[in-house]
Amino acid sequence: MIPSREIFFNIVPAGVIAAYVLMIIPIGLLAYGLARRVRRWRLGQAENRFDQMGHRIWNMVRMSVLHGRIVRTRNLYGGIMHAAIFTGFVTLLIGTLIVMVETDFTVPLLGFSFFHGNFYLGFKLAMNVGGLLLILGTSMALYRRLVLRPATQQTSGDDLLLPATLLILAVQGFVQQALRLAMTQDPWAAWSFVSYPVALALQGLPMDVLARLHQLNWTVHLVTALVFIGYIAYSKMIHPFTALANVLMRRIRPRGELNPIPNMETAENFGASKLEHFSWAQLMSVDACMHCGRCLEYCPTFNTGKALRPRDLVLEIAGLQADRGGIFSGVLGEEANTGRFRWGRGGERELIGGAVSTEEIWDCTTCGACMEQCPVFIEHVPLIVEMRRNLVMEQNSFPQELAPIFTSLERLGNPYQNVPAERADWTRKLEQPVRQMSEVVAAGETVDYLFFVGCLGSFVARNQKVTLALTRILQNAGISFAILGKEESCNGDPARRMGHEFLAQQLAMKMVDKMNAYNVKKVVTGCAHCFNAIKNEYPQLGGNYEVIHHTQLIDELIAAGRLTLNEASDITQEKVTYHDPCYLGRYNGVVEEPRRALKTIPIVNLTEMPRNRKHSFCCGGGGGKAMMKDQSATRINQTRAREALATGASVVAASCPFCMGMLEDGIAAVDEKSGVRVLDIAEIVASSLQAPAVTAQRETV
Amino acid sequence: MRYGLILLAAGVAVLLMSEAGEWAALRMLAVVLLVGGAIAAGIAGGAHPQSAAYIKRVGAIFSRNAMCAVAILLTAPALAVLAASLYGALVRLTSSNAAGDAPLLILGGVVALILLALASTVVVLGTGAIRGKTPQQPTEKQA
Ligand code: SF4
Ligand code: SF4
Repeated sequence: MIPSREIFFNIVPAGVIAAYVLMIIPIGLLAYGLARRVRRWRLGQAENRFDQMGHRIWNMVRMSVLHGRIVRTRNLYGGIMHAAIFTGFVTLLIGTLIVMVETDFTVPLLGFSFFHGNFYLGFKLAMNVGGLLLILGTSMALYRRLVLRPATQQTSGDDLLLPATLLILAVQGFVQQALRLAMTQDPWAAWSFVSYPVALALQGLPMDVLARLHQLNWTVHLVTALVFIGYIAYSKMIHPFTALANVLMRRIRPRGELNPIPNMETAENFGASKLEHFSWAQLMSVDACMHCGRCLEYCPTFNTGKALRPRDLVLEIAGLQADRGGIFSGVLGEEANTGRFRWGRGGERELIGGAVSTEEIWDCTTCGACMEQCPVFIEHVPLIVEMRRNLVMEQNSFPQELAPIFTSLERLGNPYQNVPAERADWTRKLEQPVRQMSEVVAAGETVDYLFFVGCLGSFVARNQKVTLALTRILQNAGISFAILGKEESCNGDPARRMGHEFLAQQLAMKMVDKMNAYNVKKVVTGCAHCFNAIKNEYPQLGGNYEVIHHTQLIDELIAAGRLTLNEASDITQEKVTYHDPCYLGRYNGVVEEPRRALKTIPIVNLTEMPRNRKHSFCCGGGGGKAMMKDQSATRINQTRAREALATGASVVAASCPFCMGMLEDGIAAVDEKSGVRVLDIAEIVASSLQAPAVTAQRETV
Repeated sequence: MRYGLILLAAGVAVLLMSEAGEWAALRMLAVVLLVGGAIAAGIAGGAHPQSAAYIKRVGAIFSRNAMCAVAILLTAPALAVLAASLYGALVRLTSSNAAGDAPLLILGGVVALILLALASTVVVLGTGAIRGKTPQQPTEKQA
């Protein structure tokens, strides 16, 4: 006897017809819901996300289908949970389609049956494994929502109804199989290892009762499945469509690069004050959010109790979009907790001030921790900057402390009201002079590197010490370099992240023109923000350079044996912890070079903070926040300072002037008497330098 | 919308023919027509300016209590079967002729009990969610 089973066993023909006819309702609802969403997305601004399709598809398979972005070391529970639900659901879906292909296609049309023998036995086994995985995954999801209740999760009705429905579908499936096995005394029943023992227990029931129950359970299983399909487009279960689409269409640019406002002179609006001002891809991205809360885990504003919670920001925009599109949805909160359809709060709300508060918009440090964490590649920072652009450039509405900053940037090319002519004054403290690009070019010479000093490194006394230390290192290693001196101005990063795109482009363009005129090829920066802007954003304006951060260069120089370090240095005897600047580590992946540089210093005792590398915790100074007032009870820099102090380190190593200032302030506020110093890696290395071996000779690293 | 409805009507007709005349070969065509028709009608409905208002009105018909009742009706048969299998396992285990099957019957009882517990829990949770009751994170305290 060949193993097989009768498809639609014990189901009357009218039931089969009803199943096919009823199927059109949820499929129609799903198509309707998707079509409504797509229509909303199409109202967004044009943006080309159709390039590099091969790369995009592979990326989607790797990151989403194979769970590369979902199962991560720091998110194992959620990752395994999702993998179990996904694998179970897809296995059962494929199983259902296999049965459909056999019964509706291969047998009637081709006269060929494959649903028997070893294939059938493997099918039974796979379906039982799939059902178990689905039950395991949904149970894990409910356990997390109801018992573990991590701080980053807020539970709406949707978050419970979906796993509950999936779990019920799996249970109904097992019950259906057990009833059939009990009725047919299937000789291969043991392959259905979950339903088989249940079937044995049912065998005492009269056959007609089993048959009735089988038909009844088949009917409710079918209706439950149809209800579930119909609900997909109106719940977060839409994410298999939207999340896959978002991963496929994600921005394939360095994450530290913000899109410029194109054709600024002719643009009719700046930034986003309406949904339609976002690009279509941004509008699509907010519909991909499935409330996982991962974006909150390392978010400095969430972790210090501020208004901005990146998940809620995304859902607020998605809720407004759903309301405008007539799709039942809403934001987290009372409405979404109805658990019925996710009614929103009305489509007539304004984007800024209605759906999203200005407080949220100005809270962000643009640290990127949310984007690093989001499993579906939603980009929160560009959404926030778009709204900042509108506030600043159209509504002239921004925190009042930014007014003098913008004026100073505009008039003086730096945010601190310093006179441009004083930009190179720090060089007077050097024994060995530093050349300026204008002199180098006038002499018909070239240098290997332009040292882009940055505003803090040029004007602020504390940061000037870092600049001097770095210069000493460069000179010690015999690097040929020059500075722009008074021709240097702000790179544009703070203005850009504060939403003043016009000013940012003006400043950046000035620098690009200057650097191109001097035929600059390589740039070394002493600041993570200068590094990110020149490396990732200057190419938009025609500035293409090889950009290196000073910690990378120091690491290279040590590795090349061009810096000889002294074991007797006082700093190197101490316990040191390193703070990763967001714009260096998270945005640009420079996490090992600074550590290597520190570790090669003799006797240095490097200890890590719990949140480090790409999962570092922001100092609170990015996105212009270093220049804005933080009035909240819990300051971001103090939170990070506490983490640093808890390591017992006596030196906090930094590699960005903004981080340095924020951490120094934070430590002073948290424990003034701790005696913990914040030192740039350049200072630590410079303090360990032995007398220059070769300084006169020019070499290229 | 018109094309969607034509496809749907054709799909139903072909399906009825395939079942009545035992022309199973037509069933695949019926499925294609029905699914195609549903998608076409859904997309066309999505473009209709008044459709959102209609759907909202239809959605409002279903009260929360009615939806809870539907949820319970949909899950009750599975719960009943699981309870019956639990009972069946107990009865057979306590009867004299179950000796050989005892381990499997115990396993069956355990599986039924677990599935019953899980399913009943989610029914309570699901109906609670439909009625607007969800666990609030106490403070959403910071990580
Ligand atoms: S960029 Fe940083 S501060 Fe802004 S929302 Fe994301 S994690 Fe929070
Ligand atoms: S934005 Fe991304 S990380 Fe945050 S809740 Fe949504 S899907 Fe999760």
